[in-house]
Parts: sequence; C-alpha cells; structure tokens
Amino acid sequence: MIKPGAQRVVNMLGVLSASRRQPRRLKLCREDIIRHKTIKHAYQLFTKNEQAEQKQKLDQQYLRIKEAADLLQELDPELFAATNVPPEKKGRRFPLELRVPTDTPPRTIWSSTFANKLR
Amino acid sequence: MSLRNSSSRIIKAIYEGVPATGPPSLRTRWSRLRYKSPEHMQPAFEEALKIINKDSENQKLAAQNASSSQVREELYAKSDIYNPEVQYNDFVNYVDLSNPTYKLLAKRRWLRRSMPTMMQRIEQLHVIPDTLPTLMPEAETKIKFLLPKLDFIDPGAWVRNDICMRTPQISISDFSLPAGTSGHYTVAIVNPDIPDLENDSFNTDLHFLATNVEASLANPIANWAKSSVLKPYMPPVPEKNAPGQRMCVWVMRQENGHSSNLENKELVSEFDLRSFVSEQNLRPVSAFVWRSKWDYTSPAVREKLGLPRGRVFYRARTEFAEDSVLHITERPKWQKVDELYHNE
Repeated sequence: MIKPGAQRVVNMLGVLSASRRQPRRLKLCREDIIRHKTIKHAYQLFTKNEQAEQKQKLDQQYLRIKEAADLLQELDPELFAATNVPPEKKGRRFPLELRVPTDTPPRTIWSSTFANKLR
Repeated sequence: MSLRNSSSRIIKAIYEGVPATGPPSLRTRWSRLRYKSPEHMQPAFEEALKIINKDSENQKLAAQNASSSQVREELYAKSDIYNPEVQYNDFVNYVDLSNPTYKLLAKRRWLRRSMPTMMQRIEQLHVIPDTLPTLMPEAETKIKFLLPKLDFIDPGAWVRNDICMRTPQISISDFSLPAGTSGHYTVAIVNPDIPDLENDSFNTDLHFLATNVEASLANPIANWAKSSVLKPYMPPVPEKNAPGQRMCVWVMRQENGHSSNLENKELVSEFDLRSFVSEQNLRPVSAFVWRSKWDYTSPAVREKLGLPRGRVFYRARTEFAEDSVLHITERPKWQKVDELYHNE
C-alpha cells in the first residue's frame, strides 16, 4: 500500500503512458542519501512539533469552553439547558444537507419545508 | 588509514554538498563525473540541520535533568540519532556498539526486522509452550555453522544433517544491558521431538549446555573455550520417516553474573529445562530454532559419531488413526523408493 500522494502520481503516469507506472527511481550516491534522510528527519520533527503545538492549543481552547459552560451552569441552569439542546431537536433549520452546485440539478431545486427527522 | 581519509572527505561532502569533482563515495572517475546531484538540496539541508541541532540541544538539556542514569543514557542516545555523521556511519556499518547512540540504532533495526521473525518462528513451531512457557525478547541470537559460504541461518530453517554436525557459533547481542557492559549467559539446546514409542509420545533431549558465556554488543560471539561447557554439543540424528526435529536454542541471562554454582552443576539423566531455569535464577532473553530431518547424509553422520544404524518408521495400519504407534503426517513418494534401494 503506497501513500495517497504517491498513488496520485502513479495514476497520472498510468494515464500518460501504460509502460511507465512509476517514475524512474533516483540513483543517489551515499552522501545524497544521507542528505535526503536528514531533510526527511527534520521534516518529521517539524510536523511532529507543529502537531503537538496545535494539540496543546486545542486542549487549552477546550478547557476555556468547559470553564465558561460550567460557569453558565452555575449562574443560569435554564440558559445552560437551552444552549445544550441538540440541533435536530430544535426542529426546522437551515438545510445542512445542502447540495453541491451541479450542471444537472434535480427537478425540485429547493425543499423549503426540509426538516431533519426527529429522533 | 585510507578509510578515515575517504570518510572525512565524504562527511565534508555531506555537510557542504557534493563537490564539482563528483561524490567521493563513488569509486571510478567516470562515475564521479557522470553523477548529477538533485538540485536545490543545499538550502533545504541547511534548514534541516538547524531543526535537528535545535532538537538535539533540547534533548541534551532534558538529559541533564534526568532522574536515573538509564533515562539519561537513553536521552543522550536519542539526541544524536539524526546527526548526519552518525547516520552515515550507521549506513556503512562503521559503528562502535559500546556507544549508546549506535546501540539504539542497532536495537531499533532489530526490533523492526529480526525480532518479529524470531518470535513468529518460535510461536509457529510451538517452541514456546513446548520447551519454556514464554519469552520476553531482550537479545538477538544468531547462529552459524562454520563452513565456507554459509552465513547466519534463518530461524526455523531446515539444516542438512552433515552441516549441523559441528558445534554452532552463537552470537548474543543483548540490547537491555547498559552500553559498554557485558553479561553472562547460559546457552542450552534442547530437542523436544525424540520419538517415544512406548508412550506414543515424544521426549525432550539436551543437546548442548554451556554456562558463564560472556557476551557484549561489541563482542557478541560466544567463546565456548572461555565458558564452562557442561554438556558438549551432540548433533541431531533424526531417523527415517520420523517427523522433523526442532533444535531449540535458549539463551538465558544469569542475573547474578558469573556463577561457580552453575559451573559445578552435575547433570541428571533426564534434563528438565523449566526446573533448571527456575532453580538457577536464569532469565530467558532470547531463543532460536532450527530443524533437521532424515536426509541422505544422516547414515554418514551416525557412522562418524559411532552410533548404531537408525530405525525406519512406518505408519501403523490400524482401524483408527489414533491407534497407530507413531503418527507420520508426511511421507513423500521418493522416500519409499529410497528405502527400497538403501534399506536405511
């Protein structure tokens, strides 16, 4: 199983020429292999650090949201309950199942009475 | 001398890019001139080096505040792992395994490649419940029969009888010990597939037992002359039409180091590996298995060892399969022809 990006390249080459399903392998000398590996490792470190940073940020955001929600529950339980009603229980809303623009639209373009099924 | 010289030029080329005269690692002038390096690698490499150096510094700082010496060693080893010079030395296998960084690289390679294969063969051939209950792998064991053109054998391989006649060379690389230290091991080879006709079952035989075998990562090959061999190697002598025999090699670390108690141990006739391990405070760290069955070299092996001619087994033709004395699962046609001519 190859990575999706590599698979895309393989597909494109497959369309261009049936005989060459994959690009010619680069013949690197030892020095360049090590240089390439170094760049790869650095990129891995970089993405790893980036992901860790993002995770930390999201965790902090979640904590802040939770703090605010707890405070609201303390101050006004009714308002807290109202904010926590799931969207499908609120009844008719803007259709979330909105279609993507297309060249072949359906006969009924817009269902203005659309409502999500109540569970 | 020449190695160091060329290596320094190669390392310069790694850091500063391949020179106009071509990469120094290539041998011929023609190939050096023909070689073209990928474009725009140098700026990317310099940026990469900055990231790697920064990460290395951070890890070294963390290592200084580490609680135990083991954690400190691990962090120091990890901090240098992506250094291009270290990567090059590892690539060309120009390494000193008493260095924790190279040890870590070797350990990772073992965990990725050899260890899963070894565990798979041991589980599939049922070495684990048949000889010892289980194994937590901590060391790599490699086995070689000293013959020209014969390298380390794969775990679970069928080995011809005249090849496994000589004492195997065993290499023990224990990755759980701190770098630069050596351990003492007990090596046992047991064969759980000796046919026992009376009980319609199989017995376990001890083929080799050596204790106080010293091995380190830098010198992994066991020296039998310097260790105490309690039972000299006895090669497998499988008999015709009997099922193949598993030669199970167990490497057990002696937790108390060199032991004179083990050295003076007298072996009883029926050797039980499980009780031996628990009595002597041994920790199984690695295992290996190879297989042998009757082949055209077996009669000669028996002759050389001064053993009587082996038995020939046949499937017992009984009403129910479970009543037969020895259950033989495989009996290829050519063996039938063979026994007509050689009667062995």
